[in-house]
Amino acid sequence: MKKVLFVVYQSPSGSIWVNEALRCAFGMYGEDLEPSILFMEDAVVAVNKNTHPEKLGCLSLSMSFKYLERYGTPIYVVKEDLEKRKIKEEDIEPTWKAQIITNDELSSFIHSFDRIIFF
Amino acid sequence: MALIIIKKSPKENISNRMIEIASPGDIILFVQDGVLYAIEEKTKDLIKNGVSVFVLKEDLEARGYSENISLFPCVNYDGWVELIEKNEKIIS
Amino acid sequence: MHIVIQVNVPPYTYEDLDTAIHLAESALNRGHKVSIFLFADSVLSVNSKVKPLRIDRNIPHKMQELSEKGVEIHICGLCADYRGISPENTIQGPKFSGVPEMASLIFKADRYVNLMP
Repeated sequence: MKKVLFVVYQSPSGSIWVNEALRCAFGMYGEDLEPSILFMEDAVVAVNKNTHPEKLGCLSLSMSFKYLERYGTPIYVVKEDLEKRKIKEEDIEPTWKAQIITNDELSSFIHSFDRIIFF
Repeated sequence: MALIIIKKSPKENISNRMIEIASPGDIILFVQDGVLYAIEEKTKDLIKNGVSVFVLKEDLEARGYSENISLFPCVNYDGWVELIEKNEKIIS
Repeated sequence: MHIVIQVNVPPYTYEDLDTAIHLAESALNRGHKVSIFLFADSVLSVNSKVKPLRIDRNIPHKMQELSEKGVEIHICGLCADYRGISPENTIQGPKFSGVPEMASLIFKADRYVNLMP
């Protein structure tokens, strides 16, 4: 078994990378792989329940997140990045059970994976 | 131990964050616009003790800098492949 | 060793395809098996209808040369559909793959190098 981490750092409204990372994570289950998702920098706005790229006519996030619900794919968000973007814990969409990690934990967290792919 | 490949310019915050991720024993390789770190004196303060740093020579020279101005040792593409051979864990 | 290089951004606009091609050549010369996985806009790099200025490099042509030298080129099929890339307008060699093949490469290959967007 290998642990794979998809790290997204770009905003979900304005680029495709959050959707693509979620789609990739979903596709990992055909192999002996254990995927996780980490949002940092502008990508953290993806967990805000008020974020809706579909308002721009773009693909919605909920569709992509739904893929992962079935497998309970772990989703992590960096606390300091949330704070910088004024996203409070109560703003976070509860359905996806995002786990908050601190910037201090980031290095050892990322090193705990076998493959690390940034989007 | 991991090889961290940084390809974005120092002006991109994600590049600084990736430098922060490095822990002792790791190797950072600057490629593409990431090579601009190699000419900024303050880069040395960002790099943790025990982290080794390399710069892709082709990308540095293509941006108008010669190897002797680089703060860190340069490697060519073969050297990059060697770093890949030596490091199973790649953060990029 | 089996080394995979994933590319995500379009050719010509960014350096990534050039980086991937040089890296693949060096890895081949050092005796490695090389796969390139083309994701998102990078799939444009295998479009056979690409017509650069004569003084510029022909990236699809270079990709075909790599393929002839034994580099396995995978294209994300959904990404290709999104961008009008189909077997009819693609250079010889690439495989229309998808995330399942990406997963297989992530699992089986010895090294996975992603050129982040």
